[in-house]
Amino acid sequence: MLDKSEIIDYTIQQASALGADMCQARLVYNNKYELNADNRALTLLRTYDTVNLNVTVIKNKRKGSLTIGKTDRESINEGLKTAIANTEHVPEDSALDVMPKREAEHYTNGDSIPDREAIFSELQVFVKDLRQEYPRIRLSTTNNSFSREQLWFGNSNGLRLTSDNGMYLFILTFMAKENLKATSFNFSVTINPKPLGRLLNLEQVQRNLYNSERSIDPKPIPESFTGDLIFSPESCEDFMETILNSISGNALFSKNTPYLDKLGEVIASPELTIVGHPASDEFPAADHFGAYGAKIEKLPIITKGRLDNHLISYYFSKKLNKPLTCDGSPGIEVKPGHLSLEELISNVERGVLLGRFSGGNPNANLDFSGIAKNSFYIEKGKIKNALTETMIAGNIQSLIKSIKGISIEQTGQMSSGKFPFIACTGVDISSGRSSAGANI
Amino acid sequence: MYHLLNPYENLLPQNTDLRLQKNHTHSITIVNGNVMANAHSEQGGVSARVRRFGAYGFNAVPDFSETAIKSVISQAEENANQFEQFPTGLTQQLPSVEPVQGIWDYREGKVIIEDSRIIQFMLTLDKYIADKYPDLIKRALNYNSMSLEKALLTSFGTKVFQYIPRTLIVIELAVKHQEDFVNLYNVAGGFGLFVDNFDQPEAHFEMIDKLYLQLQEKAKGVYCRGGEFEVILDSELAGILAHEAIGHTTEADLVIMGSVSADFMHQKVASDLITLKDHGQRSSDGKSSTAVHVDDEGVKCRDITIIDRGVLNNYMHDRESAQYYNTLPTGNSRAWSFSDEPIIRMRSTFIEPGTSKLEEMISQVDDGYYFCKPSNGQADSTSEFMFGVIFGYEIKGGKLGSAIRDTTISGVAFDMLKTVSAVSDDMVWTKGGLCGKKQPMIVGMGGPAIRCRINVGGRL
Repeated sequence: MLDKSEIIDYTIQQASALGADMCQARLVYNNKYELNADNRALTLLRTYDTVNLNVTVIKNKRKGSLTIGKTDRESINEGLKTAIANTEHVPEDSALDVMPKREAEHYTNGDSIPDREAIFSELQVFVKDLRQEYPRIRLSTTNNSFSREQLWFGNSNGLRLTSDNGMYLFILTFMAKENLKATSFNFSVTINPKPLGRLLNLEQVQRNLYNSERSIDPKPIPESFTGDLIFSPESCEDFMETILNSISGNALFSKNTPYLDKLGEVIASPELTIVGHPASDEFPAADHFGAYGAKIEKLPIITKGRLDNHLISYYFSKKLNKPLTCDGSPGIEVKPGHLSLEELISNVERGVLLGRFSGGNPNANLDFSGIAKNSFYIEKGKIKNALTETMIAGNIQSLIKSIKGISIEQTGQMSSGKFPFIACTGVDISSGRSSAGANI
Repeated sequence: MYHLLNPYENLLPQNTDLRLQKNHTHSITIVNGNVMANAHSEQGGVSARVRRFGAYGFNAVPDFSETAIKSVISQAEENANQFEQFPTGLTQQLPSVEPVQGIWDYREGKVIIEDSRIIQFMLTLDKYIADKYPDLIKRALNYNSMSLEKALLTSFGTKVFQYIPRTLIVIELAVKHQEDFVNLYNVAGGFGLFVDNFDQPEAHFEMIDKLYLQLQEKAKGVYCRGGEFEVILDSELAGILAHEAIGHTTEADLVIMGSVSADFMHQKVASDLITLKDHGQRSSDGKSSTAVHVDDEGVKCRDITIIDRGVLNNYMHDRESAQYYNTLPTGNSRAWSFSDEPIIRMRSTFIEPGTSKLEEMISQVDDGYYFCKPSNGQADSTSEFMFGVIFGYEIKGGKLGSAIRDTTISGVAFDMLKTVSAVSDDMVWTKGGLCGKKQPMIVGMGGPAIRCRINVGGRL
């Protein structure tokens, strides 16, 4: 039986022995300790170990890949044979390569074993205190957990990297209900390298629970209109993912993005600055290094509205003949602004504070349409009521150019990073149930 | 894998499920002629779930050895015993269930096609598109074969093996029209292995040609107007409607949370024209894109009628929710991977066909839309649902007009379904279908064309 630290070396040696010109291998061990609760009680303690060995072989400039959940010699050898055999049937790709060697790197973050007592007591206290402090809230699929990922990476150029990341996660799914009235479900994900403490004190949790409780009596908008949209940190995170996908190497390669030739140009309001970060205590879910082993460094993505970098991995840097900028998943920070949320709201003539967006995937043009969930109607600078059956439509390219303000408040510990509230304008807001909403 | 269960028959502790599972995936992605992915994946292991003190302990490891099997049972018991200190107040003992034995292996007797032939098939399709349609800015083909292999043993005597495959090819085309990018995709394939779904690549050229023509129509298309409209949902959308609008709202764990279905049992929630079911096996016509014979708690799947001629009749249950509602489990408890616990999932969810003809249904709409192809969807505890529409047409004066650009449609299911005024006599099963709810899951979705009133997200 191979030791964990020997598996990468063995895999790469065997790949070469079986005829591969190049090889890279990524071995990931995951351990999970997860306590689940629902509306009634603690319901499940789930623990598991998983192992994934992902191997890419390159032979005659052709690629084959394999992922297996076993690390014994026989399984590795059989897997390599399949991957190498598969290289014979695909066209050549001159961009295929593995990263050059650099000094070995080892990264460590967070705990290596779960604080079981903390996980239990935090969730038990949460369920108990929730009933008293937020009596209308009903829970679903809620869990408090610890996750550890140990990663070994190596390639046939001799590059060797390891990381060992432990983090605590609190995933909350809930709605509010009172008699026959019910709100939309909502959810939040909070991540930290250490136990989270009193879960009801988490900013994201408090804000969303409070908003759900005051959404028990929603109304549709009084009439359809074009107006302002204030993104919550949660909906901001959602929309930012679309923007980041549209500046990825994949999008550039398929030429299916409006940002193809926009490097260095202003694509957004000068209010908007987005930065990518490597893994740290502030960004515990981010990568230290990417799929090809490139180190994740701090990266300006959009600076005061200017597109500073596309997100180009090692493979796409070769494919597109462009500099490598980002080989994996950095932590994303949308920089806070200068106005409070209260000020952003007070500047809205008519609009929506968007809690959560539920819609079809935005298209390559970045058009979007969907339902404004867990959202509020704003009129003349004041929140009037929670919303129901209200749809929003627009274009993300236009939205980020039309930013009116970004909040000082910024929510961290989110699954992708840190996000503020962002106020934009030029969104079409409609409802079939409003008095003048039909057939406009 | 089935034989690995033999030593543990009659030896499992009380209230224990033992599951051995492997997920097999083969994917090939070709973008603009470049093979971006050409990968096999096989991930599996053993899990045990034990019920004690009204809660569950669960443990899983990526191994099938005797040592691993014994250790997961022991660890799952230890996990369950933690609840002695944290009493749940929930009933410990669940109602007894009839044990099931059986093997359902959909590979049996089938020829396994070599990777080289599959890759060549994909490259032939790609070449056809590249040669015939050079004006495309993007052509992307994704081949995905996904099989779930499960062996299950329960302490009440169920011992089963299921090998459930599904094979899909998604073809996406994109053009640039003036300053806009316009994309459209189609899905081929369905239940079974490659050999069950694909023979000669030439047989799919006509589908590609049709997709290209639709793309061109869409490129010249109009944005939908926002608001409530009378629409025809093509039979390709009925499945996602059944899944998102009603299905999730009637999963009993969400009902216990507080979904509005809790307040509407045995009440009229839809037009008389709507009968909505969730079936096991491959559904009653044998054509669903998935098969579930026994769920991951060892309960034989029962076909259930969720809405019967407009009246809400049933929820989908696992053993615990069945206990809670004093009814029988329905066999809806499923897990995605070996390291996942089983939770209530849909199986093959569909709306029954009616008697109307699609052409007549369209002709009776004065100002509305005919929506043809869905993208993603989402449900809600309020029964408000949405799904994306990536292709369709305006309807003006009973006739099809311009094609439309992407939009999203939504409604509150228990209101929207009451506006259904016609249901076609077609029945189409969605070829794909992947549901997300803590874990992913392969599901079947299907139905006829439906005329109703619905909210359309659009420009003003």
